[in-house]
Amino acid sequence: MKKNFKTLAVGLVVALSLSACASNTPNDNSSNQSSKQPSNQASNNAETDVAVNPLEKFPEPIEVAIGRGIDPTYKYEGEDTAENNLYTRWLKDSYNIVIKHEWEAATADYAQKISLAIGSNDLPDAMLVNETQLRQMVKADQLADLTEVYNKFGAGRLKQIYQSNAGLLEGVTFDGKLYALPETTLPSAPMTWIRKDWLDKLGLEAPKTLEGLEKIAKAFIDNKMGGDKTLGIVGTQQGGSLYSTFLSSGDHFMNFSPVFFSNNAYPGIWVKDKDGNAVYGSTTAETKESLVKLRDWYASGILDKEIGLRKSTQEVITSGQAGIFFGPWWTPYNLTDSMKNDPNANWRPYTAPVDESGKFNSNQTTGSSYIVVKKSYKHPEAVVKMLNIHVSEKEESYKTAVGKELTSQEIPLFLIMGHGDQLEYAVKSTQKVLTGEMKLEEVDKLNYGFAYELASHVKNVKTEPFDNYDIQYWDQQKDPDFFTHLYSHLNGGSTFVDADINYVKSLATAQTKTMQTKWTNLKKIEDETFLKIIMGSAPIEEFDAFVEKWNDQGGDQITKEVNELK
Amino acid sequence: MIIMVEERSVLSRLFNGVNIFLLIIITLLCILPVWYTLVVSLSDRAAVAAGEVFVWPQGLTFGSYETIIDDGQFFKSFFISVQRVLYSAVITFFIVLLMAYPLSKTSKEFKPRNIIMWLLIFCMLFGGGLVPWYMTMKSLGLINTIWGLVLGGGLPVFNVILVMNFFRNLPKEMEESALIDGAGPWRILFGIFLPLSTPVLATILVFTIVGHWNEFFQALVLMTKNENYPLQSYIRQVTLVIDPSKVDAESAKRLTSLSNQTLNAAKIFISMLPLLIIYPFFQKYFVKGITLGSVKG
Amino acid sequence: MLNRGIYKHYYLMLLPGLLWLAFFNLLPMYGVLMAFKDFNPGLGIFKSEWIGLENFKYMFELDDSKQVFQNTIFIALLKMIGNLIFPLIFALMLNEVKNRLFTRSVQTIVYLPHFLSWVIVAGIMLDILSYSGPINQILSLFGVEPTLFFANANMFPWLVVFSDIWKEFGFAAIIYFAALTSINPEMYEAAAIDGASQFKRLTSITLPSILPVAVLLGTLSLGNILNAGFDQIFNLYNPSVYSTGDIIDTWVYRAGLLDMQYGLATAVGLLKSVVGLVLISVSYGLAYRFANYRIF
Repeated sequence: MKKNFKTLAVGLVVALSLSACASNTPNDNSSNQSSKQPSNQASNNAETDVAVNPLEKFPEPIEVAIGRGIDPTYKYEGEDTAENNLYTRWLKDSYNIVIKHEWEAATADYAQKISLAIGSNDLPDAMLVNETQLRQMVKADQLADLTEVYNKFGAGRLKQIYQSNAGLLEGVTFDGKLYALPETTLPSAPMTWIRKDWLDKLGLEAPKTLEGLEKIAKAFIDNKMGGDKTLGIVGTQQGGSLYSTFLSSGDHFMNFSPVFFSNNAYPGIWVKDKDGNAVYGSTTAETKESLVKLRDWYASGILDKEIGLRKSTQEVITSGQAGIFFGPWWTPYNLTDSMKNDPNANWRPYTAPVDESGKFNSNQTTGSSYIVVKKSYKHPEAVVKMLNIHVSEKEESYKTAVGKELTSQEIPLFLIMGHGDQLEYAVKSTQKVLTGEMKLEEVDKLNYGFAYELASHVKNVKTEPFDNYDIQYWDQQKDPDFFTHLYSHLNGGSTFVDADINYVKSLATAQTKTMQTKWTNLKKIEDETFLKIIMGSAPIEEFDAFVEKWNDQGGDQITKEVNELK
Repeated sequence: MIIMVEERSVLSRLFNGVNIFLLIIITLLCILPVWYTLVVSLSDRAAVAAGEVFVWPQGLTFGSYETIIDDGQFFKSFFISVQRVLYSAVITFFIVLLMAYPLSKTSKEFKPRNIIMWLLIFCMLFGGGLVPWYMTMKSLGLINTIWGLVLGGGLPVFNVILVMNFFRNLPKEMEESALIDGAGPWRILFGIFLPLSTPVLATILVFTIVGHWNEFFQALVLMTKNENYPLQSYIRQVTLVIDPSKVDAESAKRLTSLSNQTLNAAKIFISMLPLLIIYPFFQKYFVKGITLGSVKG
Repeated sequence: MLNRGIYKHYYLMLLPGLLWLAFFNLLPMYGVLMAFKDFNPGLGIFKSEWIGLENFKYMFELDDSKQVFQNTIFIALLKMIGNLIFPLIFALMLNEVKNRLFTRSVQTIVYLPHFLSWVIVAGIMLDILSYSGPINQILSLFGVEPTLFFANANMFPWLVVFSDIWKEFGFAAIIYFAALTSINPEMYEAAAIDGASQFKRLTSITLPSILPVAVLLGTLSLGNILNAGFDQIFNLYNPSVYSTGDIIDTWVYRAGLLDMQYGLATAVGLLKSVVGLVLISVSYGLAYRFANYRIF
């Protein structure tokens, strides 16, 4: 399961996805869509579906028994649960859709539950699956063909969203049959987060390049900024990945992707080599160079010695031992503990390190979550309708419709649906309302509900100067609910949307045929080798042995298949 | 007590001194990790994160334990574990007792004995795999039930062997004289064997209690709701020992938001407490039971 | 010869246990068919295509499976040896101490780790052996550079073995304690009168009388050669130690459930069971032949 945003933070409310849904402007269809495509004119989604109102209440209650991944630590309102909460009751009252949990599992065990369900052919009516699971189910003929239901019951808005994301539906169409409803993606790139209060204390400049970053880390350690046990750059924790991959493209929090990107290396995804052929990023010379760099860093103590082993990297951030890590714009949602511990901890994002030519690179996020429906389920239209509802509640925020801002923990079959520009709109409009360039009423409440919410709270939490997002210019107490939202959007979000990012998209965004049997093994060799190289327990020459082995054990065949995809 | 004629050579004294010293070290090694957990659970979170906690709590606080007391799910799971252990203990006790008796006969006395014994061994070694097991449990209607946890692991063959061996080592004469008095097998089992078998039966009770208390995996498969998890599964979930092979962005992110070493230590400590309290009372029995059940005395 | 009518009672006694066996051990066993099929969950096990030994062939082609079998045997073998020798040494050491209160307290405490689950022990170990954990702190007092124990593939199997010994040696020593107390005290007295030293008494009386027990236990543990301990490794390992730490059971779990290669995983599991059965039969034979002892 790789729902990029699904649980990114308990506090990151659906509002975000709401704003995602809110933009109904068809995006530019070019494959390299960036987050900053200017919106085309807003088109009203009055598409005509013959005689079917996609948002109509069912005459009779219809039960949807789903399998659901949950966060066991999430605190619901009062006696509410994942199965019975404000949203599910609202679904029932307003639409006669009754959500039942066939089973639920904590995120870490969700994959196991799904495999069990698939293997025993004991499926819930609908659930969220990943690419591999989807293909397995298609192969086993376990899924309902949604083509007709989607055409007939899909809301105009839903269809627009899919149409604007080129190739999304084609990716889940097998032999002309639509077998899943895929997730869209939000743009993301990993930036470098640094304790600016430490930088200032040492009189250091913001980093630009890898070398600059290295100097800062060294200065932090030498000057014991975080006490005797100051750590340089921290990241990947136990079980985590060193970098995002084509199957987890949005995995930008707390790993080392930027070190690779700044070397023009894209491990974990498929890129074009100089002849235009597909090549697996992890096998390139650039990746090797990056590993050498990480290895040096590790040996000299700049990198946390316990990468890949820490149970929680968050812990060393919270306790103030570390001042540098990599993360996407929404990182501040996960920094609340750190700020609680030290209200002066001034975490700021930097679009660094850049590559030799000064470009800031990132891989491009691609969706990897799918709603599937069991073949024998009698009411697949109910599932389509749930998604209709999810993307269409734009006139009012969930707060007014349901009574509370909701998260993926309340909304069953939660997918991120929408286009790329809502973050930019939210950031820009909030900035403008703050400085008075724009009146609150001018914010497009209809299409960007959450931007409006942000803008209406911004004056409670941001103090002057308005264009300086250092922590001392915020009021953390006055409106704590919205502080985290606004702090994330303005501190993280503004840096991100203003950045000039060179996105590289993986040629393959899903598993090919051979990958289904060989990928686990190949990934295992890769993870093992890279970690060993970095930690110095294997020589760097091991990399070449890895490439050879990788090609031998199926990599060649897989690369061929990816080449056919282009 | 035996009175030993002890020569008091220097060498011998030195040896005894070193010996005792080493034994104390070994003993401390056994108890230190548990102690460490207790200390962490009572320490301040920041001190733990900074690695300052070692043999004594830093910034003594009972906050973690207060949090647990407010955590309804912890106690729910605790109760499920207790229930599971009780049911398992009773069922295992009777079924194993009954089974061990006929199997303790020689193949002359009870012809099919060897076949049944090998059948048990076969079943102990072979399994159909997780998916078929799950399907079987499903068709037996045991998903989400305490009985799934109690029975799902299958017959505890090892315990049967233990009790059977114990029975085999009991003196034959008693049984023979009882037979002559006209006692049937039921009366021999319950009237003669049972009272003599306290050690071995206590042993299998301990094994069953320990096994079921510590088992975490079956519940992950059988339970469809977290609220039905027994304690170890719950603990594993909150302390997030994650499957290293299948970690993705999502679980990694979750991990960051909830890691809390001191709270986890407190949960771990409470979860091992019941066994730590129970086992010394059983000690004298399981020592005897293991000895007589597995090796000829 | 006993009355045949008694059989009926015997069967009645066996019935509940056999029912348990039938429903929860035998019934799910149809699953082994998967090892010979191209399992398609949509069709179910019986209707899936029969592919004979394809899964086994594939298994032997995979580099992974060789590695995994090697790791398993290595770890299991070391555990077997360690769990024979350490408890023996410990029992002998404790046997030399005559203070009852001391021996009793030591015994009680060393049993303790046996009662902890691997979920818990693994959690504690990861903590204690972490980079800034107590062990590394102690080592640094002696000027030793801190090491990352659980990231070191060479060290990992040994950590697994020693943590297993740590957890089980006390409990395993129970049998040796018993064997030691059953040695006739008159033998010691006679030896003492003859002027035999403490060490001499150990080598000429204690060891010989306890050795058969050790040999027997060793034989009995043969059947475990492919059991390297799923619970333990599942809770301890990470990708950087796959090369030495991935064992059959963890591999089968990952391949069979998470990667949905059901047939392959079943084949590996089946092979493991067969080897286990063979080994148990061997140890049964050995124990009977040389010790005149029937394991079951």
